[in-house]
Amino acid sequence: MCFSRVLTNYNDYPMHTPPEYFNELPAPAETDTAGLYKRFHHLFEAFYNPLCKYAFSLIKDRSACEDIVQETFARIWEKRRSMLLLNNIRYYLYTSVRNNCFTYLDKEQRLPVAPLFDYETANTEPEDDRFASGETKSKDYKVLLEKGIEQLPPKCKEVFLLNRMGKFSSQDIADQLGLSVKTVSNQLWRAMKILRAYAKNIHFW
Amino acid sequence: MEIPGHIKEIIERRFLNRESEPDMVTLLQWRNESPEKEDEYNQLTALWADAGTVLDAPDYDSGKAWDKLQMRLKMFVPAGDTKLIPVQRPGSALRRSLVAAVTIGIIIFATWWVWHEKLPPPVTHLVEATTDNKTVFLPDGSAVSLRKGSTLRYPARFENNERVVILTGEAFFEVQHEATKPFRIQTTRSVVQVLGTSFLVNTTIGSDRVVVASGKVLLANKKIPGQHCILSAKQEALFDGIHFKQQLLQGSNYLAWKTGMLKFSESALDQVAADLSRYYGIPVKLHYSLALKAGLYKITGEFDCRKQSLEQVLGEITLFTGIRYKKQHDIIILFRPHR
Repeated sequence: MCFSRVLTNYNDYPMHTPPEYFNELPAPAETDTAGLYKRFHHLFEAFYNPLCKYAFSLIKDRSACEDIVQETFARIWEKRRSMLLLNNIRYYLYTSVRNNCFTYLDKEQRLPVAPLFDYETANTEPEDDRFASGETKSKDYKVLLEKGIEQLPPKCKEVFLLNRMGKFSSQDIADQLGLSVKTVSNQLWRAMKILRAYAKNIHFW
Repeated sequence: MEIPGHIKEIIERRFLNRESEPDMVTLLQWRNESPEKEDEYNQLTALWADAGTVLDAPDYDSGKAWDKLQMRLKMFVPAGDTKLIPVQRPGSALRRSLVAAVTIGIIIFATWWVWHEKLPPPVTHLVEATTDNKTVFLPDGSAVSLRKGSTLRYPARFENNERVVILTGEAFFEVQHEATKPFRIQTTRSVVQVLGTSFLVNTTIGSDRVVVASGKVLLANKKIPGQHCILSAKQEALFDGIHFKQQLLQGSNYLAWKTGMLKFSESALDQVAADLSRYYGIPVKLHYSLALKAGLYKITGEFDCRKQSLEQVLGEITLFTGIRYKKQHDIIILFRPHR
């Protein structure tokens, strides 16, 4: 009884660990399957949502995103269990999801941009900047921003999403994509500039 | 405007919360050089935050997905459903009981070994007040009121003659007095240390704020523990990672998030704006035309914020002061109408 408590009581650690704290969780021994499974569950809880959202920003299809992320995790458990002990598994997760998204787009012969909203309505200017239209204005702004992010040039978008959603630094992204830090940083600021131009269209700073 | 390369690097680090102290000094200096630069920085920060919100929604159901994955991996074993099926093997009863005795002995020894020799590290609890304020009682009997959206991490038992907890967001602490075990709260940038008292800690992206209701509190820089300030009752301090700003407590609205009431009596406009921002979580700023004259507007009144929206409260304030407000990019700006 006591043995089973030591090995399989998965409830000792809080399950909803924010991704940034993942590395602080106690790492099990490589032979401790139960411990590894526990860590696997932690990893899943911490990254499932961020990864789905990241995938969604690339392929705009909720169920396909969930499948891709699911597949990525299944592969870790089935083939690359030892990866669970690495500190930089975050890189693997994002790279793997990104590659799978691109494969999906290739296979489906889809474009990485799906127009989900009506551009015409997004472009109508609210006539008054008091509260009454504040709601619609901020909604339009969000829609515009979303459109802006979607229409970033491919490399630029890739860098921006990794930085904004994956919380990777320019150095991290440079390592992942095989670019120079300078290039990554340039792309990042290019993205900010383009997005700001979108924002400026409806905001009178 | 073209931002110099080194400032860009600092802003990049700031966005990921990886900035160092010298970074912050350089950034502040740069921002203070001209209003355009300050404006540029604020626009970038706002854009960064908004892009995050746009990309963040909607949520996915990780619990359901986990069940699905477990089914797929064929590892699904419901808790408490595992049964040991006894298997009859040939052999004398004596031999069986001997084996059983030895097995039990080994299990008892191993259990003792595990629990006493290799005691696992103390379990850490993570409490998140996701939907509502939450009250948490710590192992030493101290009570913590956690504001909605905040998190607190603490061990299952306090060891090594100290009580350490880790806070993000805002919380009001009522700490049990234990002279030999100092109570420490860690945030990203500071450490707050006390023996036994009640006080509030609020951590935000820009700074940490500590308000002391009773007793004495030590607020220290996490990176340079020598830098600290000592606060007594009815004092508050702000710490932005570099400087401490200590002052007498202005007003009594620091617990508004707990009580739902904002009370002003002859309060200056900038104080009112700050209290409203803290309660509603929406920045309320004074237009520069008003900023220098904030002291001229004295506001007295009581607002039940659970019933009144920010718009309603602002509506009342504008009524009896004659100032006006506008919403710009999720920021509310109070201004004086031109006449």
